[in-house]
Amino acid sequence: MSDERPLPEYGFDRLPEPLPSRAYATMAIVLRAGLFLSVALFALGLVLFFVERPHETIADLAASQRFLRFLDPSVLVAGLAQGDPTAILSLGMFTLVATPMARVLTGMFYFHEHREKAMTRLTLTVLLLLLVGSLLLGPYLAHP
Amino acid sequence: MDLLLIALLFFLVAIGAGFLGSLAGLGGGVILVPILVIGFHVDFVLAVGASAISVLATSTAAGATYVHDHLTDLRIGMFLEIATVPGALIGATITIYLAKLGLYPVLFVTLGAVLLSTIPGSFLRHRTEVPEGVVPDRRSRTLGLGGSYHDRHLDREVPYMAASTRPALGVMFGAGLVAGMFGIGSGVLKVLALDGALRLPMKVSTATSNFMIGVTAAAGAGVLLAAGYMNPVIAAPVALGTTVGSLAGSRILPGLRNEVVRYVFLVLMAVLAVELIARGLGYA
Repeated sequence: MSDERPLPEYGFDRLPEPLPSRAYATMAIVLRAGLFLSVALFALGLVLFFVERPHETIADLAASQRFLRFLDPSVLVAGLAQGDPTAILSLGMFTLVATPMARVLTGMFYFHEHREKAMTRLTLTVLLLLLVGSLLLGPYLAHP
Repeated sequence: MDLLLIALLFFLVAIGAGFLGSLAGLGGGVILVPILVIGFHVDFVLAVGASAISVLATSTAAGATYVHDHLTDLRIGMFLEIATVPGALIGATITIYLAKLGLYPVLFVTLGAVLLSTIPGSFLRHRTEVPEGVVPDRRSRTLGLGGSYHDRHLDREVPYMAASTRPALGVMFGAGLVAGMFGIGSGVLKVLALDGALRLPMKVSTATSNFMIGVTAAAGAGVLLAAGYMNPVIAAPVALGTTVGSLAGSRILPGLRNEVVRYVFLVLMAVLAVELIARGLGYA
């Protein structure tokens, strides 16, 4: 037996019920936490980077591929454990990109809880597309 | 030149772009790529990546506030992301392929054309606070793409329903494509879909647009990041600067938001667009 609500015909005479307030509150917290964390990692990473390498030139940076290696999670963890500024900066970027994805996941959870199957499916599709882009399409395009 | 100095310049320029973009209501991302490419000779795709990261940061900051205030329509936002996200994935892929093929002139001319085409739209925006006579289509009635919000200015509860969802999805796909290709928010296109096709009240439209910009930017940025076209030493100061600039623009000096600032920003955009097109065509 399906737990899906019968599809009502909404309109100005019958507005859809809003998601619970905690859905909005949780999403705001997720967004703020992600932003705060990534900004903190960016600031810390940049300070450490320039303390360690005060005379680095843009040519040195362009010639190196030091950020690419952090796409491997085990290398990223090892870099973070050593306090490598480039690993910290990379984690800041990953956190920022993952923040809207976490927001989509939060939305999916509340649509599911609200028994809105169509919206749950739509949100799941968006999440899968985001994951496909980052985990399959991006790495595929990395090849020359 | 020392990288430290360049990073500081990135930070300062991004503060200016975020500040002006916020006051002009267009976002700073739209001028960041041309500034990084023309002014600092940053690789086009790395500039797109840095801009996407800065758009992510600023839209996350604004989006959190709008969500907290319940002005964002979560259903409409999530529904339209089904069009913007594939658009952004395809857009980022096109940019990477064009760069791999060495077709940078195509990217320059296209971005220049996108910037120029944004200008009339931002002049002609006559936004209606609360549109009347809206007839929701079948998809809108079935999915419940509507709701109500309390408008403090009007001092009443304002009900709304989305009107034409099919054209809105089409425009949103285009907005996602442009956002993915150039790391910009495409707010003008998104507002066109939300105001023009869905006929939402202005406050809901603005908040929902901001809500979607983050996910759209994450789609393009995720591809660029995983493909190795992101450099945090460029992206981090740009993101930090744009966030500081846009927060200053939106919170500290709201009284300055007027037509003069908008015109200055649009003139700057036009100059950068012409320079990009000239470079793309080999005239500069």
